Amino acid sequence: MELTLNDTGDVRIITVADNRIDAAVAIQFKDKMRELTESGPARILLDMTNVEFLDSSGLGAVVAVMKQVGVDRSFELAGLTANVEKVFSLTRMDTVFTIHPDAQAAIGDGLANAS
Amino acid sequence: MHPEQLVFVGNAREHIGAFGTMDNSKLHLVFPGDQMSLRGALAKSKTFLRNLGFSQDQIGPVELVLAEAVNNIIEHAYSDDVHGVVDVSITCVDGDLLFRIMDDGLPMPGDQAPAGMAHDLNCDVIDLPEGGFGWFLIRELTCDLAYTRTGNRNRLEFRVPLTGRTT
Repeated sequence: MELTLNDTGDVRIITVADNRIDAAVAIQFKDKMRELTESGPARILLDMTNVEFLDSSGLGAVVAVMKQVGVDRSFELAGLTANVEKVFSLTRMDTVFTIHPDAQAAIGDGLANAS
Repeated sequence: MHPEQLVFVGNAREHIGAFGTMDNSKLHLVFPGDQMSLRGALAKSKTFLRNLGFSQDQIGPVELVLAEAVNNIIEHAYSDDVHGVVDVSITCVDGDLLFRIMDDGLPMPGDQAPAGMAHDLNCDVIDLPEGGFGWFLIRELTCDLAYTRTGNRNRLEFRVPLTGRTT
């Protein structure tokens, strides 16, 4: 599970390089995300542009990351592909997460304008 | 022996191969119950559907349902100590996609497929569910789902309605 990190301003952008977050890699994803979010900026953005497939294990891992990050910092998502967006909307998790069309929109808008 | 005539035996590693019959209407896959083999089976399934002319919009839900159903088999029907085989058939009949998934693992709890109730997400972040979405997704995306068990073989059958169809 490959994740790349880019701190820009007050945002830590973590980009998923793998094209699947599924049962095969959900635990590794969760563990690596914990390492990458233990410290650093208070705003964390997960760029999922490369992720073409997310199953319920992957969804659970993303939820776990949000819980790990906690309520004192923000954890937002960007770049959901059609398959991934469908999983979020079917489970109504799209009402729980702040989801941006892409990383640029997330940085440009800032927290307050996110939908 | 012709692969189609193999007696389906759990743990029968000598019969495991990624054989698939891809005539124009049916795909039959038998593969070990592990995550990497599942990825391979999903890839073959997508190729089969693409070759039949299905769009990504139609293929996406199929991949998800197959992944959820087989993940359940890997995690619950089989276990860390018991490695088994998964048998997947996808049949296209009159533009409808029919699925049959079989395994020789433990029965489903209560001998029935889980209802897959939706979660109430109106809670604090710390209380959000991290699991239990699988059967909900399967139920949302399929019709005519039926679970049967004969001897020590589980059989899950369902239909994935294509985009634009409500039945």
